[in-house]
Amino acid sequence: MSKHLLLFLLLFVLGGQALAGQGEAPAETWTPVRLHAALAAMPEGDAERGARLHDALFCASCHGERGESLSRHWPALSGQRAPYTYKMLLDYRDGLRHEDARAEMMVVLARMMSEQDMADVAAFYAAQPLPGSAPLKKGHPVNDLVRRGDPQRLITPCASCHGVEGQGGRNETPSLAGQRPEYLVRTLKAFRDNTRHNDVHQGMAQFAWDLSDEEIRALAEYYAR
Amino acid sequence: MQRRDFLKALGAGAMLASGLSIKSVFANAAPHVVIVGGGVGGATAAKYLKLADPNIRVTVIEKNPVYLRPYGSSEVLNDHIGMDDLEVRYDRLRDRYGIEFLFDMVTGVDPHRRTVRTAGGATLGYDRMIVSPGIQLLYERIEGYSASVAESRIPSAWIPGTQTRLLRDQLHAMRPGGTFVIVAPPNPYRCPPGPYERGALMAEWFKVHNPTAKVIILDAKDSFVPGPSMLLGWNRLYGYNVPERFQEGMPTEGEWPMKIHDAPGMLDWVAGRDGGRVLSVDPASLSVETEAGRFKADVLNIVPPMVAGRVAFELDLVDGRGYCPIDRRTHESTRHPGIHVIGDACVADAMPKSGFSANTQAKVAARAVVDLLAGRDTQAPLWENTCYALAGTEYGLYVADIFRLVDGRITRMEGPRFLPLDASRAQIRIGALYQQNWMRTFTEDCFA
Ligand SMILES: Cc1cc2nc3c(=O)[nH]c(=O)nc-3n(C[C@H](O)[C@H](O)[C@H](O)COP(=O)(O)OP(=O)(O)OC[C@H]3O[C@@H](n4cnc5c(N)ncnc54)[C@H](O)[C@@H]3O)c2cc1C
Repeated sequence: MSKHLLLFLLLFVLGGQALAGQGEAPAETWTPVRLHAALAAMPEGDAERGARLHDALFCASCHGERGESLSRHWPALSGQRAPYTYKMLLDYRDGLRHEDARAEMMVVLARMMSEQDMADVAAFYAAQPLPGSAPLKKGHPVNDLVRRGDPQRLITPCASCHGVEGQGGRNETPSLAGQRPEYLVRTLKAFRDNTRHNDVHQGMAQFAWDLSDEEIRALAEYYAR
Repeated sequence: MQRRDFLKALGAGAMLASGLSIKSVFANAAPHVVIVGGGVGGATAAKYLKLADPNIRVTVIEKNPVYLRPYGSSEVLNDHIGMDDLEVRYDRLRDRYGIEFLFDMVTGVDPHRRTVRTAGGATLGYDRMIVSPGIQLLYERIEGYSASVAESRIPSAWIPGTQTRLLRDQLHAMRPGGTFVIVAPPNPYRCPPGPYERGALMAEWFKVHNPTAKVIILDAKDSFVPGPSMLLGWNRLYGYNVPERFQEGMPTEGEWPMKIHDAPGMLDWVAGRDGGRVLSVDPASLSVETEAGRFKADVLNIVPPMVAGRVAFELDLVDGRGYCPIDRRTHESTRHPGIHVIGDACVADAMPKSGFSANTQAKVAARAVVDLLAGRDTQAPLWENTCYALAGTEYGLYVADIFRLVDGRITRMEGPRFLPLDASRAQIRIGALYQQNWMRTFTEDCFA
């Protein structure tokens, strides 16, 4: 069990609810085949029903009325790609995503949702406009990292998966454009420091391992609104 | 310095003031604010004074080097947390904000000279003082009850400490099928939902560890906050039958209806109108004489009437009813200028005596103190309070309010306040999650 998971459990055994890793087999990590199957089995989302769930499950009180994010503590979800949102909800439910104390809220919520609920909420967010876009920023300190990557460190360009304007890529690759910079910093650090591991074969983490704090801050700022 | 450079520097200063940090008006003569009591109110006031202007010198005089938080302390009784989890330290306030601490007991004040004295023999001068001493319990108001009985046999556990541990140990050692009796206090008192939450948490614990046990709450009052939503939780979780006068608006069908139980459940509440008022206690037999007759307990927990902390009396800040009257706009005492009172000890009209209240009152008082020290007009305050409460570890409730100054009184704004009675299971579960997260983030806001 990782140190962070332990810490997390210490902090949250309080919740009374058995959490991931506690008294149950740890969830299986993703393989490309499993993920493909899970996304293929994703129910068709109903954005209107999703809007009602968004209300009933109090999503709005942290993420904002349309997922625009109300504070630096919580990410924007508006315009997010539905397969990404859906996969995150599965990951919270199954205990694959618990990088910090904030995640516990989502673990409990996701466990109360059916896969149909998840798909509906995901469809609701996908139907909202993206909070911003991240076009080419020539001269920005990480423009090269975003556009060309860094062959020396085997970092592929961010834009090659997350889209030329950060609008998201195929399937579960999330949009980043207009995201809260604080959230992007937390996320990149979580991948870099191995506290978040719900990616397939460390598909994201491997690019974060070699990033400096400085680069992480600059990347977050590049994509932020 | 050249005139042009001076202007540039001035411009930069003004930008700083508007954007990043507040420009201090106290650069030359730093005023000194002394805070009495480093609990929720005192700690928050100290921090927010420093946030407003780091040039203000702030000294907190607190009798205990480690604070035991009362909020959430009933969760020690059901082992949801340990006694250690109640401990809060002052390092962060000291190291991060430069707040000075004196661990000593305040014994007196000279309001004309503006000096405060401690039991340890220190005398400190102040420009303004903020007092947040919490409450003291009036054990002797109940015939047969006393501080020494509370420490040894019938704990109140309303100010956390040895009594909290004693009560926990008694509850865990209670004989199978025993009766746990809680005596709820009369208004006004610290933490309105507290006694009822405590009863609920223990009923939940007994369900697992002592399933034939009983919990009885004796009360001089006929209602409490958040009444109906708590009673509905008891109905759903512990087989409590909700009195008819509270049933309005409760769901009778659907996902999770209120039920009429044939046999009474393990938890009961005896309201004042049903004779719940306590007349006397007998420590030897652990029995309580009430208007409705005698109740024999196996474990007895009495929350006696309470008033402002003793030091508020010693500083001559209280009125005839035992709390400190204030000018609500600034929290300045109406009895002694230059001294502000916040938290459980002050008269705050519609605001309940809660940690959340003490925290917003501290922010209001800190802002007023900074304005007054700077010779500025004070601003119209706004207060808020949310009392989260649990009917079970996964059953959360809350009452949320905003208050404004109306005709010199702290007045509650009308609007939806409670988790609705038809809240879904998911919303109730989330309510409990909010309560737990609130405990953590709230402690950070006050002490870190
Ligand atoms: C069981 C229980 C559950 C609760 N749950 C909640 C909740 O969920 N939410 C909520 O908002 N509130 C809750 N509360 C209420 C909350 O804890 C209090 O309202 C809050 O602590 C009041 O803050 P205060 O600053 O007025 O007093 P306190 O926090 O009691 O602080 C007073 C401080 O002053 C010090 N002091 C006193 N006299 C002197 C002196 N002469 N010299 C030096 N120092 C002195 C004391 O040592 C103490 O540290 C709960 C209370 C209880 C008992």
